[in-house]
Amino acid sequence: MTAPSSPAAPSDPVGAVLRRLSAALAVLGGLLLAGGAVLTVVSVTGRYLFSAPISGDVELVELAAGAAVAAFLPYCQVRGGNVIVDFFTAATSARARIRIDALHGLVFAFCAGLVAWQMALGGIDTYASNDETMVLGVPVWISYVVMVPAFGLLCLVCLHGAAIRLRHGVEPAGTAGATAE
Amino acid sequence: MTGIELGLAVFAGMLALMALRMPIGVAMMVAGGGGFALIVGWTPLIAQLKSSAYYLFSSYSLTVIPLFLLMGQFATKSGLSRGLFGAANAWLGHRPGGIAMAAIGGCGLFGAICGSSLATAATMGQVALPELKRYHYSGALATGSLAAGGTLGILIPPSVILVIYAILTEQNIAKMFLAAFIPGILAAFGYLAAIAIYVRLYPEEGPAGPEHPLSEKLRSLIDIWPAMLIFTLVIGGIYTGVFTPTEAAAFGAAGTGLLAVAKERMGWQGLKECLLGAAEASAMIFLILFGAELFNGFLALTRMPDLLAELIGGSGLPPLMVLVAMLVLYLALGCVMDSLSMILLTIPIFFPVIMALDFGLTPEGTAIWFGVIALVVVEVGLITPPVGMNVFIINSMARDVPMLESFRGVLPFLISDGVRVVLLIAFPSITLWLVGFLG
Repeated sequence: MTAPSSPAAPSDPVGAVLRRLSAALAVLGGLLLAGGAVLTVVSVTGRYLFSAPISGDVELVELAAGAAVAAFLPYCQVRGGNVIVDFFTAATSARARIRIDALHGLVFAFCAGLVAWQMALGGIDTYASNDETMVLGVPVWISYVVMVPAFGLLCLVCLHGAAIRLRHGVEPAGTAGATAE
Repeated sequence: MTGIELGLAVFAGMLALMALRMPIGVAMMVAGGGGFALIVGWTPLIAQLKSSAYYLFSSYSLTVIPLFLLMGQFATKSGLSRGLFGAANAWLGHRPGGIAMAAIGGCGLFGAICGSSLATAATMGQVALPELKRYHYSGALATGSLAAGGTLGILIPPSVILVIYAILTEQNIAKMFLAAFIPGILAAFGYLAAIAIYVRLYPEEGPAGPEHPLSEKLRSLIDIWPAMLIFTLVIGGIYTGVFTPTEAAAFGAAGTGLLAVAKERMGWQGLKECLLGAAEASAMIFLILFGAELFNGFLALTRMPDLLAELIGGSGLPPLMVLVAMLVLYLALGCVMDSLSMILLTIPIFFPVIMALDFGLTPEGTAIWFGVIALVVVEVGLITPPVGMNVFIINSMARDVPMLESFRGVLPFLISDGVRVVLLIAFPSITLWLVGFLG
């Protein structure tokens, strides 16, 4: 279910920047996730062998993994990794499918933008009210510092994808395939 | 409009959006958010968005998902698949159809450290396809057995979909994994039997490989111990309660990551590929989870699931008939949709209905039993046309095999699946025995 081979896309510097940013953010999120795994391993080993767990390991892993997941979203959209049902539209022309996908891209951009905007407000709330984690007292807003830009970037990626589809009638570069498990 | 009417209307609208190629997670968001706003207004919806993503993504019970996906990515890079296939081949390869059997065995072993079907099929395909070709296996049998073998990845714990089912229905993940264990083994043996019968009918499609001497058989076991050690640590740790599932997944990711570095000299480039692979798969799942949370919030407001459960529970329909109807619906949905979306879409509605019916089991037993059967049936969609993703991925790796051949090759395994589903429904103890024995 690979993307139909499309004519070479016109040069697209904005897209290149968005793709790089998304990949970089995803790698950063991946490192946060892997860091959370290492922290957990160290803490659990400490707990069983030396009765000395790292205090607050659970909340650190929660913060890291949560930020990581948000950081993954733009990359998945760049790669066209979000699941769609393409069974009922398989018979339509490639042109029509690209138009439909552009429309959905705009809807997705609206949703992501709305979440980014509201989460920015939510983040300011948690900053103002000094929300902290239970054990270590880590300020919760640091998680929003990753999540808000991630949703913002997701919004931009969707908008850009829709623009390329509408203006040039092709899939944006970097799209690997439309369906995944 | 009553709650149930609004619920049905929004549900139908959402399905229409999905059929029109809207990403499934986005369709759930739009329908769920829209429906929610129609009932309680836009202001509460918007206000909820301030923190809903934070609470969902940072929830400890869901953290296990990206960690299991990272573990699977490292496992594919660890070179373990070669050893696992080699060991299965040393023990099974000399039988008629033996190389295909080894592919199934390899998939089953790999499934014990990987919670995803596609990754299992693709990884084992890389190792097994050249061997199958070398011994002149037919394209149908070669690709069919790998596509079917891939489904063992999600049946044999760890399993991402079982984790999600457990969270949705508030079941214990350790018990769900225990319950899936025997059905998973049964699936592997069912597939081996399917191959044995198939090559008896068509011997030229799957000739026997060479006999391996006992010394080689024993030596091959050395290659599988790292994988078995990780499996024992991760799954054993969850079963015995030494680890929470999240901790176990962290150990699994660290263990497979170390193996990838030690055995395959994974460097920064390889690590980056693993992180990006886990990123894409995690984001795909969490977007749907995010949409599903909004949608389920809306469904709860309409009280549709409860009303439907009361209606069907009080209707006097035979419970078995209701169950079979649901499974048939899964098979139909599986033709157009991926397994995770199906589970997230249907469980909030089906689960209360199932729990309102009397199958002669305890409530917990019913929940676990239904989860395993639903998982098995949903996975069948991965190997049936028109969107059998496992078949597509294996077929794309074996370029000389026509797609139709691959779908024909899957047929014996589908029959085996059918037999197994009937067995699981008829004998709930297959699923529940181990839970009762160890739980």
